[in-house]
Amino acid sequence: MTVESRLLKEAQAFNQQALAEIYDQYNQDLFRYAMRSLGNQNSAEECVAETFSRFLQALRRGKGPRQHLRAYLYRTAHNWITDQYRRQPPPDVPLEEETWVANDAGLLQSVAEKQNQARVRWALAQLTPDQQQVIMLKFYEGWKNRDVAQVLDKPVGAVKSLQHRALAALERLLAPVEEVKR
Amino acid sequence: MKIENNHLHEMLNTLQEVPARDAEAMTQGRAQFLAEAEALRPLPPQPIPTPLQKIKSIFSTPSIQRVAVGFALFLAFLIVGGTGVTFAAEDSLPGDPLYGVKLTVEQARLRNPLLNAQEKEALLVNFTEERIVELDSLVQQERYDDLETAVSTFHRYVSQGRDLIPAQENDPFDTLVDQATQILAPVPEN
Repeated sequence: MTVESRLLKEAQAFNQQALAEIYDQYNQDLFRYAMRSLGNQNSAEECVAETFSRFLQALRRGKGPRQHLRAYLYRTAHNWITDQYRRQPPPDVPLEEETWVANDAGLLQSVAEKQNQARVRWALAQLTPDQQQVIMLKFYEGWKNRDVAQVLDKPVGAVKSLQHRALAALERLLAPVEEVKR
Repeated sequence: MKIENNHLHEMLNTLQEVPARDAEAMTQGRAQFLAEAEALRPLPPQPIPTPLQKIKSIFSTPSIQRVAVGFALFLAFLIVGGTGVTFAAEDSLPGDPLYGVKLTVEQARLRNPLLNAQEKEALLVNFTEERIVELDSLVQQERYDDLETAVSTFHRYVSQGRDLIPAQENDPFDTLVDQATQILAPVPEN
């Protein structure tokens, strides 16, 4: 029996120690995942809390994951983020860099970086949910195709295809401002 | 994951760094998660009780237990105590402490509403014979002061018995009266 199988079995019996172990193991990763997508600390905290709460509710109903706990938690977090986007889509990001003026070089760089982050989030939000997950899990979390396939419940070939289409869409959405203007 | 488009790679990298999570928020989140887990923890399944266990569980209730124990003690007192006293009173003589119990039991048996006349007469004959035995014992023990109670009861039973039955040639009480007369014959006049 693997460590994860043991943890899941004990979690199904609502063993506090096992549940605490699961929380400690995954809460930071889930927070980073949510933070990248949402760009807001409070929303990311809410996402983590809701993900673990849904996990408990599923256990209470006798459901929840029998294996691949990490994949289950990321899928749950992603569903919550997608719901958030549906309720409140991210605002359009202006391409005109001249719209803000700053004299301080450090401040200028910081603001530019924040604007780029907002653009990336906006671009990711334009992808399909599956495409988003492929980029988030492969590029930012460094997961292998096989692990992403578990989250999406799709074959590895489908993951590769999703990645290809996602990158093509992102190249278009995040093209340099000059190219877009042309 | 390899991205050949440098601009895209650079843009995506802007989200790589994530600000550190607030330690207090993490501690609160963990505590909230464990509290929710505790609240949702299902109760252990209860085995279905057998009929015998159900009865036992009723009597395991403290108030019912007290009542049951009290009732059992009361019954035991009645059965053991009552039977014992009645049994001890059977051989008592007038003047003995338990003689009153003996007469009370006799009266109770005679008042039984289910008795017919013949059964009641048979009882009166038995009780009158018992008086004969008592008179004989008292005389033998020379307890003359206690004779009066036995004689009085003797006459009352004879009278009641004769009231119950029509006049007949072989009156059982005649024989009993003769026996009593013979027993009392040696008793001094005063």
